[in-house]
Amino acid sequence: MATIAFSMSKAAASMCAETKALPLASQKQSLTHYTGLRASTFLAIPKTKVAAAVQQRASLQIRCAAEPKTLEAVQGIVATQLAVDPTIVQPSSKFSELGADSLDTVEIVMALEERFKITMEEEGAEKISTVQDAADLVEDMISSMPKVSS
Amino acid sequence: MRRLCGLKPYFELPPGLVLRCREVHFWCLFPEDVIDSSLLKVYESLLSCQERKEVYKAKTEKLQKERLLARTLVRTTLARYAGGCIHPSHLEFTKNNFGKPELLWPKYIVEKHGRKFPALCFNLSHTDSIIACAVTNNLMVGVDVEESKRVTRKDLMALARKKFSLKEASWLGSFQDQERQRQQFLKLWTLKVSYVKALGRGISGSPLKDFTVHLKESFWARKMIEDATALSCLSEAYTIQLELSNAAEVVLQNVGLSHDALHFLLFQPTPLQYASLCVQHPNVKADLHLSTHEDWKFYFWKTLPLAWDEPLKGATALAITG
Repeated sequence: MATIAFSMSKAAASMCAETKALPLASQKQSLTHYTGLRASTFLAIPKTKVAAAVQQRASLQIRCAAEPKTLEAVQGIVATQLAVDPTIVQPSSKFSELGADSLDTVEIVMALEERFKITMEEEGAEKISTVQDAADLVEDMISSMPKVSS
Repeated sequence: MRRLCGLKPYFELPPGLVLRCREVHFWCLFPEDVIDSSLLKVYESLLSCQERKEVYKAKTEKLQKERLLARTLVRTTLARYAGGCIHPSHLEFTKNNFGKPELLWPKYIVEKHGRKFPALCFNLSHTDSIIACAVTNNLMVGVDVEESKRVTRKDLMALARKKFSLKEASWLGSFQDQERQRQQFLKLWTLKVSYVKALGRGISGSPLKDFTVHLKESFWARKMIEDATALSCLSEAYTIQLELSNAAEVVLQNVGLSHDALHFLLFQPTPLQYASLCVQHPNVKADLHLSTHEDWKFYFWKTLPLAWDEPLKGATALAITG
């Protein structure tokens, strides 16, 4: 879904970048990367999916942050790993503030990779500081994976 | 025997304890020993404004207490080495380029007889049941503690393949018994984290895959442990050897060390924890002009800051570099 959203104009993309602070440097990179999507790639996506995506992507702001469902799943994984009440796991919560040590962080990354079927690169994973960071990186990884046309 | 200090504002080292050049001092605090909540209020008053803010950023009361005790242990421990002349709340800290905390002030510790020692090096680690602080006289040091009963949610071998070197993963895979494998995993993990912390370059600066910690059962390990520590030792003691990839060698060279410069001690403060100390060997420091045959020593203390301190009894050493 995120891939379709990023196909809007560069101007729109930079507007989004200004309105919401991006937690990761990679986020900015992915925005400019996706604004380069060619029309043919865009049109190759089935029409029903496009319509749904356009409706969802009405607001520029949504494109910059992770999907609510992704965030929820990440919160659940973090709460389970750290054995804390899920209600205290907020998007802005830092892993360290939730009691995560280095081994917990590795396990959380592995759990995210399994759940979302992605591979987190070492550098990206090390930059994760908050729950929101993790969710954003997951979305980033999902978006950058080659799409299989259905 | 417990030495009672009372709630006095200034702190001294236990009688007869001096931090010599070739020594590593391990101080620990057990949260279960802190039963008086009014003591926690006093501890809070020792912290800087910033440290207090950081304590309350932790999301649960248990984590807040852990953070409070950790800062208290660091401040009260380091203040001891200033000969009782510096109040714990007056110490100043900074972070190196990679986020490792360092003592900013005092720059020098002036010993009783007027000799000046370079500022202390320290490292902190904490887990549910223990807060630990290692102190040296200007030697790079890293400490890591883990709960010995810790069970990972992820499969151990999957974790090892992801984070350990090939040789380490292979060694771990050789253990058939699940419980034994779990214990060996934790020991390796603790050793590796203490190395990263000693170097002070962060995990990204010294990736875990780039170095191998070899644990070998050895007849000589017991003798080496006895020479260096007063800890009791299991009959099954190990030596620890460090093998570095080219990338890891470069990282070490960048901080002015060679691969044989860092020494490890793996031990259990109580049966509930594993602890690893990784320390720069004093022989490597050219400016100390010490004989290469002189042994160096590890000392272990347990404390309830402002209340009491005593030698740590009942700790068991598991492995030492050799």
